[in-house]
Amino acid sequence: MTKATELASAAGDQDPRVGLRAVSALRRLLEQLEAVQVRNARVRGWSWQEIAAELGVTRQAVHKKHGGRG
Amino acid sequence: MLGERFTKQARRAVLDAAKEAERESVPEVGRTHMLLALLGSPVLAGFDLSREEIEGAFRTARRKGGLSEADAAALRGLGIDVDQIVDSIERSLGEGALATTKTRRKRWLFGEHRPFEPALKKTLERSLVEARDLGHHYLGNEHLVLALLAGGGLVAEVLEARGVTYAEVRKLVAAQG
Repeated sequence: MTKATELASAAGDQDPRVGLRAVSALRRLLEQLEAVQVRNARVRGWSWQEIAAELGVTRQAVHKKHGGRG
Repeated sequence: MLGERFTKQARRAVLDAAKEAERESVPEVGRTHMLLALLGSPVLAGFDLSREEIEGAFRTARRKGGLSEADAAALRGLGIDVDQIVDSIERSLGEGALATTKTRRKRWLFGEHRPFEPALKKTLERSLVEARDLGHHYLGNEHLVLALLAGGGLVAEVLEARGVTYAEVRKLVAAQG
């Protein structure tokens, strides 16, 4: 409950800069996490199709973004 | 052309930035490398900057996937603990797992130097604007430093935390005429 309230208060912070900065940082963190997890899956022999299914995107999308390195 | 207005020192700094990237074995030359190459510039001489300290700050950020202290604080505000995420990723995938950079092999085939990150290209463009705004007909290290500060992000944050602000450096450069 308190955690949810905290989260809501941060997300609804009066200063847009605080909220926007958090969104931007979260996006960069997400991109990095995705790259790391995709690389790990490839190292473990996963196909692009399998990775795409887990990520909920098309095979083309994931290959275009992370491919080019086999 | 762009390169012709660069002073000898500024050209040297760009080449040194490429060497910094080489030293780190990363495929692209970025803004952090540019700053490391500029640390000896006269315009920064009065600030008592420690190369080790700055390198340490960059290393820490790299381990967190390039996120700065301010980024981590912003995420903390959302209830997200970046350190905890880094720890958990490193536990399962090994130390420095989030620090890995993308490789762009295709572009390696062309040209003899490492490619510049888009953010660094933007910084170089910005340095021309800084020189122009000051009425200078050359491009020196001071304009590169100003451009790094104007660009925000990790590099500017690391400098600002050590008292090197855009306003301060701009004042210094303007005073030199």
